[in-house]
Amino acid sequence: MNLIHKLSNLDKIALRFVVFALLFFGLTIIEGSMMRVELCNVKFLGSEHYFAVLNAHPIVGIFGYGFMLVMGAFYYLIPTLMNKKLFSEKLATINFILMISGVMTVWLSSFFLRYAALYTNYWPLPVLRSPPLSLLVYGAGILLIMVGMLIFCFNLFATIFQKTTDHDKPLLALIISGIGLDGLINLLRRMFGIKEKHHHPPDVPLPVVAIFRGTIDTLLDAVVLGGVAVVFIVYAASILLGKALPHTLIDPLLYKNVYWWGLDLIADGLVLIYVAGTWYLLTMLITKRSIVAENVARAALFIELIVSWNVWSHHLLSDQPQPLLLKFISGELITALELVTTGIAIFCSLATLWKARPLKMTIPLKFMLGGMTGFVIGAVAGIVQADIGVNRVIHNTQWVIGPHAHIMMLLGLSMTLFAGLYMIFPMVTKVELKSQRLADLHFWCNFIGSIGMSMAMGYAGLSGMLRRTLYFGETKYLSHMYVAMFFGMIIAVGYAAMMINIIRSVGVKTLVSLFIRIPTLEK
Amino acid sequence: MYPTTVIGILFVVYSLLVFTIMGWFVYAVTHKRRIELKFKLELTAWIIFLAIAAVTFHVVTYLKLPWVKWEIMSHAMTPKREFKINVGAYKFHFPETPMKIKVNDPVRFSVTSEDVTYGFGVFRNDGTLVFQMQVLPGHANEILWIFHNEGNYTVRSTEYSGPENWKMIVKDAILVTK
Repeated sequence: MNLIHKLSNLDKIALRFVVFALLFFGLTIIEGSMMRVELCNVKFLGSEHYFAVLNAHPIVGIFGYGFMLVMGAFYYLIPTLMNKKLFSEKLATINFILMISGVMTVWLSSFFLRYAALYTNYWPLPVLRSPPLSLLVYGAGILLIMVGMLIFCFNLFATIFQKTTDHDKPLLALIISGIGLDGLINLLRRMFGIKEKHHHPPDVPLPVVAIFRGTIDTLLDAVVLGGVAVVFIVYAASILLGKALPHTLIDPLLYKNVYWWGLDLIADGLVLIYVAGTWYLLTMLITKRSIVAENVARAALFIELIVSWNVWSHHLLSDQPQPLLLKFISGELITALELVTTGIAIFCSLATLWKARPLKMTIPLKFMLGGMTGFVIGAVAGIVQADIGVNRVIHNTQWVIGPHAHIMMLLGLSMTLFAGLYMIFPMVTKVELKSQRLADLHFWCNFIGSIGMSMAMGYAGLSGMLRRTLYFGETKYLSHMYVAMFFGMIIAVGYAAMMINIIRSVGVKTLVSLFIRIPTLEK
Repeated sequence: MYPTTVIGILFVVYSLLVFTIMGWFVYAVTHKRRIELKFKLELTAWIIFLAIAAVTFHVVTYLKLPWVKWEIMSHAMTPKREFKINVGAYKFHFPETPMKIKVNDPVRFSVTSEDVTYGFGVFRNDGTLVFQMQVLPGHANEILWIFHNEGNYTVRSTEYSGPENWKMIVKDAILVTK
């Protein structure tokens, strides 16, 4: 019997997301390599096309790869961990179609229509400098993605809160536990010596708390970015109809604050909180123990609710009209608290692993520890740049995108997601990976490649090299870019190793049959 | 030594420390013989350490990087010269080229944009960044600065403003003399 017949509907949904996420990751690597060639002063794309690729790169990377991998994993994990059915498989399929069509629409708007206001979209650049058709298509693409994300949030919340039996917990209890408030209450109880009448386990498991908390930020992010997409569509339509709306209707500073408030929730919702949840889950699966200081971990996720909504100003430290008080409180102090919340997640996970020693160094454990290493480095690089003094000399340099963003994405986030992938893969597909060696090769290539590439970018940044620009005719940063190119190629080798391993283990026919009915497999 | 050089050195040291600790952790948790720590690491102590480290970093930069105080005190400082610069259609329009400044004189750059958001970055001849700020249209974008070293400085747009932005470079836009 072919593997496809052993898979449940839920398995298939999860795998479809995973397959496309990994394909989008491959596309991100191709785009990154194209831009690396250009930054080595080889005129390969041309400046206009270069910036169009730069426009598509983060959208494909964040929404096509990152979010779709997370969605696939969580569609499988939430029903499994909560022992409930997924609220709606139909909605999950609609979510899947919207994500793919949205990402591809954005990609087309960049690649063919040359939309190039980049993911920052600082007002009024999108409406003043983009061909209206490209703005319309880009806006439509982002809107599709955001509707997909809203459906994901709804489906996840509905699964967590749906009542399937009379023994299910009441809604309020689930919400309190779901946001981690029960952890804070337990800590306060202990602090004031108030004893519980009956000790009972938390209503919502810790990894689900992280997923639920992260999804609240994802929802808000989707509302803000979806709103911006609607504005783009309205403006593009007004230009195409010959009745262009004045761009002065929107204040650039207010827009920048709102936009970064929403966009930064990705950094917290997706990267920080989802990753913490994945660490907790993997640690629990690896050690078969509950997390050390679980109440603190739960309370930290609740406190992160306040932190993640108030850190956006670190993106505006170089904007002189931005109030100084906001720069200090939101940009520096509250942002610095992220070091504490991340530190708690790392401490609790490592302490749990420590208590369970000796452990066997499995592939998931290896990737998870690699992810934590990336987080410890990338988060500190972020705190360094979220400082009024330092920001003055490194804002918009390659430092921001190297040691912070790419270390966080390629090492912190990706290694953690790959750990989850290697852990959950046999559970979903019911087959073991064919090659341990290829998985090892993937680990070392991704680890060394990400660090090498990001550090080369970072040191170019400290030497004054800007991000989102070209240096044709200048040779100052060429050596840094050659090094970054070399390590970028190592990342690509790692990706190829992972893909070969997965395809060999599952089989091309099975992967294709997730999307298309193959007659030979019906027998 | 530039502040960015110090950041670079400290970051290498920090990264190596992280690799060492993680490497040791991997060795310790996978070793067949149960390795014990000679001290107990408490979560509360760890949280306090992180909070202090984060705040200390900002205090140190406040004390060591003079431009933080310039930004806070800019309303109370009187510049020796003020340069009103306009940016539009991917071009800087300076009141004079080069803009002549005396070493250690406070000067104010007031930059306005006619269309989109740009960046105003001042670079040394070796390519390193002296300072930068964002230039938002419809807003006053002002920065007070004191140059401590003589020389020619390049101005470059440090914020992406469209595919033409990378060409926005004006060499020797600023001349600092004694």
